[in-house]
Amino acid sequence: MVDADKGSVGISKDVVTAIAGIAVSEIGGIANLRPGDSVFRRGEGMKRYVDTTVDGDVVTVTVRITVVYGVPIRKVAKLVQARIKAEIERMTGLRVSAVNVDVQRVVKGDEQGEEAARENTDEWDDTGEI
Amino acid sequence: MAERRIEIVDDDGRITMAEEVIASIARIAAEKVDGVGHSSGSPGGLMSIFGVEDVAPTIKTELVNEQVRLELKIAVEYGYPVHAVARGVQQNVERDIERLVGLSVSSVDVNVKKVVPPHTHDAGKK
Repeated sequence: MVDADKGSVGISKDVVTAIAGIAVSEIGGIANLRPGDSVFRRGEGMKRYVDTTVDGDVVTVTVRITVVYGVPIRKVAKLVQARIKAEIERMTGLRVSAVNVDVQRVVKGDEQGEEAARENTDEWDDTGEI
Repeated sequence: MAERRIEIVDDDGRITMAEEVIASIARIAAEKVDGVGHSSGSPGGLMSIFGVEDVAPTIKTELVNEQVRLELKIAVEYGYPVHAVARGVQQNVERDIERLVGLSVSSVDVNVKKVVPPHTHDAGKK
């Protein structure tokens, strides 16, 4: 799929990792991997939170998150899975076989965080009960 | 504390959660009840290193068959009715664990260990 007749296109693992990290940063209620975090500028640090394996066209991702108090954890985890899978598949054409989410900590949000969590409540509700 | 994890497997991958997550939620939920002694700073922060007593709730969790049993030790602020505060803690903790973690709670045992002077709201916090 990536081999066009005028040459080939390779996608490095770091690209896939970065897409996963950025996808997470777009979700409210998560305290690490926020937009503007230094990990997004340095790139390297992303591996603290995101592990990626690429085997041929198949990707698996493991992401470690800290959740803001007030958000339903399983729902936010499901959303993380869905977003990462959708973004990687959309941008790279690779297939994501699994997204593992490890919730490591819960922190008390600042007011902004809790507000974001509340704003996103509709979104959580859409993902359905588990 | 051993790093135990709660695991949920579904079609999209594995969702795991540190058991510490349950304790953190219970602690925050308990501290939201009026009259419960609050932490003096970050847990394990300078205050506790120097031996100043931290009156924040301490929490033990036990997971049996997808159900959580919790044991909390709390300090109650002087002037508050102890039983009402303890009941409030039980209700808040149960509600938050079920709503946020999605596990059902089999029991919440509350031990009131001491009475402390009323909480002074730190400037800038809340």
